[in-house]
Amino acid sequence: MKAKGALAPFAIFSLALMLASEPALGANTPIPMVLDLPAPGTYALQRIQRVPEAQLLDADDRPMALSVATRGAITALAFFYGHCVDPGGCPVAWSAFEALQKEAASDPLLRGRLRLVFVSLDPTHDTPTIMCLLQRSENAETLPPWRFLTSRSQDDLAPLLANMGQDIAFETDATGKLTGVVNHMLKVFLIDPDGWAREIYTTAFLSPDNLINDARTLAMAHPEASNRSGERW
Amino acid sequence: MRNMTANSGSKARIALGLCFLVGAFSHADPAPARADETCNSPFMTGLIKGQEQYLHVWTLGEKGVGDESDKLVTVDVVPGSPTYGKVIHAISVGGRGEAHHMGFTDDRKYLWAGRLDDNKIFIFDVGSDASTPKLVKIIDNLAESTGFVGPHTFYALPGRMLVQALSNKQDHGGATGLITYNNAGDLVATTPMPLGNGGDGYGYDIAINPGRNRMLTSSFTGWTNYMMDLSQLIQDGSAMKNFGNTMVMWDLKAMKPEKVFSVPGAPLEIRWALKPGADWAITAGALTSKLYLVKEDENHQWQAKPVADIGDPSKIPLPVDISISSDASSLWVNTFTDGTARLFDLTNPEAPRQVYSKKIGAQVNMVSQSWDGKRVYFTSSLLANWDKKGVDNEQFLKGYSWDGKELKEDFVVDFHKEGLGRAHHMKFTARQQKAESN
Repeated sequence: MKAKGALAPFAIFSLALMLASEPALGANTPIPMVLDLPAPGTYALQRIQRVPEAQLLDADDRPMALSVATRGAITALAFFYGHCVDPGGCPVAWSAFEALQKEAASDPLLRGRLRLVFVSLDPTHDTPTIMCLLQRSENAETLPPWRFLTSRSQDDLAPLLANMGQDIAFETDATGKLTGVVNHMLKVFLIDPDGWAREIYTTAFLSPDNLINDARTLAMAHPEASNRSGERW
Repeated sequence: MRNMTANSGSKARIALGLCFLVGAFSHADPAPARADETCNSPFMTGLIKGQEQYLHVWTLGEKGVGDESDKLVTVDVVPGSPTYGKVIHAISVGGRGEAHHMGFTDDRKYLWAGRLDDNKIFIFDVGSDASTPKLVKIIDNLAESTGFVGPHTFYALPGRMLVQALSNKQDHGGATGLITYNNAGDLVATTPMPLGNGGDGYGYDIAINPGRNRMLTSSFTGWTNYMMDLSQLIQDGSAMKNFGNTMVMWDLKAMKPEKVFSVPGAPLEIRWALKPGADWAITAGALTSKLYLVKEDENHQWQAKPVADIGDPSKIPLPVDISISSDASSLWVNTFTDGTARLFDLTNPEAPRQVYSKKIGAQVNMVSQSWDGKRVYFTSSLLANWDKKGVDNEQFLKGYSWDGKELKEDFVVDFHKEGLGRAHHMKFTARQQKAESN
């Protein structure tokens, strides 16, 4: 594995510090609630759109087609960037995914069928090295797999974002200098084994309960789903 | 699961910590809002809590007025601007198809606008440059592909647009349905309005409470009635029976009707209270001139009930559009017949009371207010064949300031003098709409 970018070694060192100190960032992350959801399997999710193909990079800096990361399994996918601190943004997705992963680990319906995928919005900073560290921190034998993907450049990523309706804007200060903030609308996609987005969650609808409910509904409709399908999983 | 706290994301904090180490900076956005400018879908981003810059008016072409074509008109509404209160852009779409309502996509980049007669849906790019919307797509096969006609309400869902139709292709009556498109304009699903068990099949507006997974719909009338001349219609006893008298509470996730409420007299626009924790909605019955409240009773059962008269119902004031304040403390209600805007105190939603009124014009239909409630805009047209005739057919956009006591007129755009047509639905944009996480 190769560290990409001059900041990466610093980030690795810092990540180690973070692992040790567990800073209190995100303590105010709002967790939306959605009440009165129907029971899993009692409803059908719409086929909203086909998830397009895209060439990304995995955490080992190897090319990986998005379809390899999504097909054959029930996949929860979110776009994120590692240094997002918007309490209504990436941390909400992160918390929801951790809850989903934990719940799925003890659910025979989801344990072998669910995948989680984070795709970086900021390939300049989110190098494969950082993806690797994050991936290691979020995976264990007992948990459904959670992949962290990035891309070679913003240009490579742009068509995927456009197709998925994931609008982003790099914030600049008064002098026109990039601040590092990527303004984006938080969206999480639930994808079926055939590559159809079956639900899309924005903050107003992204509760762990809602996500888990829908994942179970899809798993019931797709008993053949497996999170080990595809050679890279 | 429901009691999860943010602290469950321990690993997330690791990545968050990276921000300080790879050169990013703090970004303290407010908590996501539940709704936008008080009437739009809560799934929409880009909340304009400050000063709106542009007001877009979906305008019906009118014979003998300008190019006679339906058009999207853009007005500068920034006080102090050299073009404040002036039309800065208009894009004609060709023909007259009963232009009516509009709605933004979830990312607020595109504005969908429908026509009730020829069923065309026009999609405008307002994200690239809101001052000059560009027509990027027309959906012209709605009737053939869904069986429904009269695309009325456009309500953003994540990645999708939910459209409430008013009628059907087969008999142009009131039985209709909901249509789901993805944001690319591809048809995703159709859902009929409930018929039987109290359901009358009619549709009109959509309003969603995402935290309760509940969607409310209301009911109007079919193509035959809304395309008929109003004076002819009200003398046709048989036709007057063909109006909806129901609202439906849906399980949003399942898109299944859960309960049908009896709400007589064509309940039109629906507004959920936006105040956190206030799980109630309000609507106005056009033909009964009443406000109806939809709220859970003490047994946690959703109920709809009349809570106030609007003007003197015996005089048929014909309440049309309504606009709720962001704190759910007040509600503007327009009455078409007397051209009057009425403000109701909603402090107690069980007993709203009118506290203010002002005549806006010979006729008034739509009302939109800014998030802070300090600016209120009105337009005049109801339907081409329902608008008043002769000198009473005033067509305008009027902008007012509201100081809590009095509406003060700031500008008027005369849509006849400007050669535009009949002014109908309004939507706000701003040049730099920062994407929020909502």
